[in-house]
Amino acid sequence: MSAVIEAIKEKAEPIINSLIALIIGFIGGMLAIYVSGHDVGQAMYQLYMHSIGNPFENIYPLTVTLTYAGPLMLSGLAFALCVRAGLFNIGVEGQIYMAALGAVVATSVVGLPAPLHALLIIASAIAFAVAWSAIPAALKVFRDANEVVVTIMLNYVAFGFVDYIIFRYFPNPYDATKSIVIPPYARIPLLVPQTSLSWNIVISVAVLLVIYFLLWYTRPGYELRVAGTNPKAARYAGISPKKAMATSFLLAGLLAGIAGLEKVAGLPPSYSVMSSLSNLQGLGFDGIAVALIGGNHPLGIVFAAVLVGALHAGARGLNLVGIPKEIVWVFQGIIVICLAVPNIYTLIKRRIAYLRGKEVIKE
Amino acid sequence: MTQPWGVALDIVFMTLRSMVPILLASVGEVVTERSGVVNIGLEGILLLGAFFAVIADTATGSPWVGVLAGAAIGLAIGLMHGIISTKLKGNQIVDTIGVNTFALGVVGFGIFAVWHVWGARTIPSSLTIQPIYIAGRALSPMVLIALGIAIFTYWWLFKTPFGAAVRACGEDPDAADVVGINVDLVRILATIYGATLAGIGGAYLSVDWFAGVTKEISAGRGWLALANVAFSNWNPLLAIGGSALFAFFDALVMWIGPMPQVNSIIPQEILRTVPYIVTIIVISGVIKRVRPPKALGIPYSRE
Repeated sequence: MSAVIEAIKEKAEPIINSLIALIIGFIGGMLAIYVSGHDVGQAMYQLYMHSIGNPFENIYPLTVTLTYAGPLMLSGLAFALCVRAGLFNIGVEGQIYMAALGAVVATSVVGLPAPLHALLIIASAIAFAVAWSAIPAALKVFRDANEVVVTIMLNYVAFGFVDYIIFRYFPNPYDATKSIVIPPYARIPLLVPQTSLSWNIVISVAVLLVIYFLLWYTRPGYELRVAGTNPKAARYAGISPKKAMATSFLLAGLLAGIAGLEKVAGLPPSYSVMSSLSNLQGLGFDGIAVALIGGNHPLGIVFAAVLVGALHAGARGLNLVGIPKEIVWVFQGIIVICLAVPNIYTLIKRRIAYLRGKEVIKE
Repeated sequence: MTQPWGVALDIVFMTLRSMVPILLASVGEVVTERSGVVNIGLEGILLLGAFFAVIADTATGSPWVGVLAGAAIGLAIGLMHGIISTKLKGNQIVDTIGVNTFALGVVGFGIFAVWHVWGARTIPSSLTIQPIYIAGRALSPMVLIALGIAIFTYWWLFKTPFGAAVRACGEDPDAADVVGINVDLVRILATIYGATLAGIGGAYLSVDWFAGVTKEISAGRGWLALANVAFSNWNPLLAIGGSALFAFFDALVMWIGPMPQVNSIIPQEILRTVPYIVTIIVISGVIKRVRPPKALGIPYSRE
């Protein structure tokens, strides 16, 4: 019986760590709001009302949260997958830009029957993102280049190219602030009418479950995880860490492609790319927070994406009381810093025990 | 201005100006990484340094107090990162990703919270660091300070006992421990040194170069610095050359970008990505021949 309790405790530890990080992050964020002279209570109330509210009376706030959560799950999963293979892939952001470019370029093609055109848009978005992720993959595998620096640089390059190409060659003739619009037959349909919640969320959860199954219940998935946690042992067992790295990079590109497609083709009312890529910016970076909060585990990521989605949804409410949406990154940043400390829960337990003058708990 | 020498001098001065933040951040990071700690939060520290420098500058009327404020925020982040990387045995990449996110948040939120403007706050030129004049051209004294710091750091790292201790902690912490070096303490101090220099680099961006602060003021320079650390083989003197190379492309783009002859061939938006592309080529082409400190990124624990 005590063995079972021990097993549960072990499973619960990372969840408790995440919860502690969340609490510290919220305290830090509220402190920033307080220092800036705003009413913290009022701000938190707005945050809550615009992300959750009272779902029995009005489901709308919750649908906004889930609208944000859909693509976040995929960008989070893309980062987590690479961490599992031992890589810090910060390039999801740029791959999402590329996916959007792919979708817009394919949209400009004329003369195809509707279903074929829709397929082309999907394929093009994913192909552009995967191709962009192939660059850091190749540089890592063949040149052992630092993937953090390479992917960050590629994000800047992607931004320059995508923003330029879209607004030079594919601007919307009726609205200078956006690109040409994805045709109705290629859009991801709405899940709840009169809201912004589309089938995005269903697609994301489905993709997440597929990746979960691949990672934990298939041999290649197992090999990828072993290569990430212990490259030496992997090589000894005949597993190629390089192959695992390349696979995870390209899979991340695929996920980024779907995430970008969801943003461009599954989000009313724009169904396009906004100028300065403003409707795409940050999705890749927020995915990093999602992955880390979710413990780089596909199932944890579902909850983490909803949580970060709620923060973003709630930030619209903060905007109403004059607090810029960037405050979300203050919360996220502090949460991520806390998550870097591996056993924050044990540390706190030990500190409390120490303060009580009791015996120090051994690790 | 039309003489070729004049043009060449112009480019040299622009390169020197662009070089300062990259140089300060790289020289600091060289010391940090030599001690065995990696800090990928340089970009965030530049941003925070720029923001807090403007606050201190406008409050006191002295840009040098702004520089001190930038140094102070760098010091604080360095202390935190140093402790997480040593005593707490945390993940050094993860916490500094958090620092970058936090910086984006604080600066984006703070610019509005403090000045009630969106995204950018400029300061009058009377509040910026006054230039000195060499060859009839304005030069920031920060250029000389940054170069001085790089040379001093080289001497300190390679010619003094403390420098030897820093390098020992990064190469072989076990041996360092055996000879009585407090590995964790040295690493924390080296991390503080690195982050403080990055904070000063951030202050330079706002109270000197750009005379103001924006949400995007760091523009990837922290990442260029990180690439430069490996490019210059963890050597502060070589880091001067590396920073000059990165800054040269930065300056070149700014100089030829607006020219109509150039614009008709390559648009400015694309030209602006050149420094980043150069970095990718450098990091995947040249860096094969260098070797990082052996214990880089691994928290030390006594076995």
